[in-house]
Amino acid sequence: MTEAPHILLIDDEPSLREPLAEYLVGQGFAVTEAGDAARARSLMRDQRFSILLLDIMMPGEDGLSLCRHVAAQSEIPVILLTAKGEAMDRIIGLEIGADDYVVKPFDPRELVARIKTVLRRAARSPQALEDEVQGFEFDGWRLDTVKRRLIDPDGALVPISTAEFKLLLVFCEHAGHVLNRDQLLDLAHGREAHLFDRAIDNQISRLRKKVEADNRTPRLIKTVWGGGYTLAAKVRRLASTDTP
Amino acid sequence: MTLLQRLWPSSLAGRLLLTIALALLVGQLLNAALMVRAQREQAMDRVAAEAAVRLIAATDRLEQGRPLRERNFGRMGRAPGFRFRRTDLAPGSPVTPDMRPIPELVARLNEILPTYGVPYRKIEAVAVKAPPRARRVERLAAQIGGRSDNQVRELALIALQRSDGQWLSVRVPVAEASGRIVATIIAQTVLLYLVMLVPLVWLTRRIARSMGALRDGVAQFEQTQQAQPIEPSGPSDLVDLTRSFNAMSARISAMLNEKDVMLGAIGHDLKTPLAALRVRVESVPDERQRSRMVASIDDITRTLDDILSLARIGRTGEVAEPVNLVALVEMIADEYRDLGQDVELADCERIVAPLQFTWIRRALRNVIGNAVRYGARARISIARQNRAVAITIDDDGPGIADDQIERMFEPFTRLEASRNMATGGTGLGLTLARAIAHQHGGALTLANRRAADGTVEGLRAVLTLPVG
Repeated sequence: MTEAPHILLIDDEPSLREPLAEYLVGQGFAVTEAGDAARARSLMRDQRFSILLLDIMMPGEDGLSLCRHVAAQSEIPVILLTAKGEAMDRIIGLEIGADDYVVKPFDPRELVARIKTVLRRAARSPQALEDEVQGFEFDGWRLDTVKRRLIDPDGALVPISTAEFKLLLVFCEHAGHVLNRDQLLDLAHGREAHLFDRAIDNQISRLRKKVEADNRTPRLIKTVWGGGYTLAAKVRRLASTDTP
Repeated sequence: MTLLQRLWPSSLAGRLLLTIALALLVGQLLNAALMVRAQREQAMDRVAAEAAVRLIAATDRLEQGRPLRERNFGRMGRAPGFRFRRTDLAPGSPVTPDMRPIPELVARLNEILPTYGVPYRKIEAVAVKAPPRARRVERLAAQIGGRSDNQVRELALIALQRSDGQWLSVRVPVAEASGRIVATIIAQTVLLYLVMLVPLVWLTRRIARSMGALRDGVAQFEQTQQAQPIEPSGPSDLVDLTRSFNAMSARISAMLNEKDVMLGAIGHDLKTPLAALRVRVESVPDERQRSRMVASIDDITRTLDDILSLARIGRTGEVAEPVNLVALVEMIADEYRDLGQDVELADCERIVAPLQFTWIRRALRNVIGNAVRYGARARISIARQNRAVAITIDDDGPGIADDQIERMFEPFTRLEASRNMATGGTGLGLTLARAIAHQHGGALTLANRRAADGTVEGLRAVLTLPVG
């Protein structure tokens, strides 16, 4: 077994920092605490950390400034802890180099899940990160995987649920392949999902309503008799340089 | 509205121009009246002069014992029209009470005649209608004499009682005020209008333009709540007003920014301990206790978020982007269906509107959520109306007393029966939804749905949003 990931937790508020550190240790992480940005900087000079959990609003140097510094100086991933929940934060956070963010008060289990996701992603080779897909394009439609949204051929945002987004993402990643319900469930929602097969049919029909011109005779998401479903369109991967 | 109100222009330039045009017209009319009067005076002077000359001549003749009319005058005396200028001597006055007296003529003659030593007891002057022939003759005389402004309709009859009691009378044609004067006045007015109104139109339009810039700036500020100084232009009053407005908007904007910072700090200061609590809750061993605590924390968070959102609305900097509104409503309907709620959505064509996506999603969630929560089910239809789209959400609930409906939009107002957390909601949902609708230039209204017999069948919420 490899060494436990080492988290540097930076928050000026001990009432949150201490129980959170305790909880994370309980979840199998090694945790070092810092009360402000200056302390964090000095800790980072001496030790190597796997990931930073960073509060945005701190007296002295704030979290955004430290985040920018870390993103520019090192490869250490950063998850921001923020009190604001507006969509803007996501964009700002990602633009200044943060890998993800959680909104206070967060579900600690969700925080752990995010930490694991970010660590998995960071473990990949730099080349893999370089090639990371920013989105997909099919038949004029654009699936933006960074902002997690679907844009129609006329440029209008088409709101879809998270489940529909995941399903469409699976279709884009496996364009041209026929996927049965089990495969779709696994790929879209993971093995732990407690979903019935019927739920997939339901999501497919909702998705068709949004992307098909006529959902009685689907042109994009086709049903294959006895097999399952397939995305019958030419799919183009968009790298970071392609996204407008 | 009266006719006057309808004709009265509403814009500043229109009112200014109309006022000036009317004042100018009144001035010109006065001018015309004065000119007509002056012309009449002149005509009277002429009549008085002619009458005086003939009366003096006649008096001289009578004193010299000569006949009143020369015999060798004969031919001329027979000439048409001449007799209208005749001079008569009679024992009684030719003036009858039905004739219109001309006192100003009497006054003039009373001044002239004594200076020439004409003795008389009494003098009378009246106007008599000229016979048609007289007009023709005068016209002829006018053409021959080159005078074109005379139009004879009246003769002045002047009777003088001599000291021997006999009446000496003369008839003198009275020149009418000529039509030329009216033409002159009209031409003058038109000229004045051109000379004055052209620069006035230019000036008022310039002022109106400056005011328009100010008005647009105010509207812009109202919409964005971001102070953008307006370039002062136009007359100094307007420049001062613009400067004052700029200062005021800057102050308001600064206050709002301060408020945002403060709210951000409050949000942070409350959410951090909440987050601490949320983390600590994980160590509570009793599953039931823990889930209740988590629910309470979620409730507090939701209320806090609603309050902060309401305070921050319109100031988040989220830009409007084209959103497929039908797909958005569909997505929210699906969310509630997944929770086992009864939500129907009528088929509708694709409608794209520029929206702040997360805000409108929130407004729709609040309104549709209310329908399923208090009204058992939601039936949604979307209809395009000219440049707007109306999203109608009907429920089958008990409705709301008509006098309570507007109160539902006030913050923290909830129907008494439901004032507990079991039904969820913070009492801010409709307040927030309406504020979001207004922020988009739309509206949110509530009304009871009634059956034909007047009983309430449920509540209808209509969210209207502008399209493009």
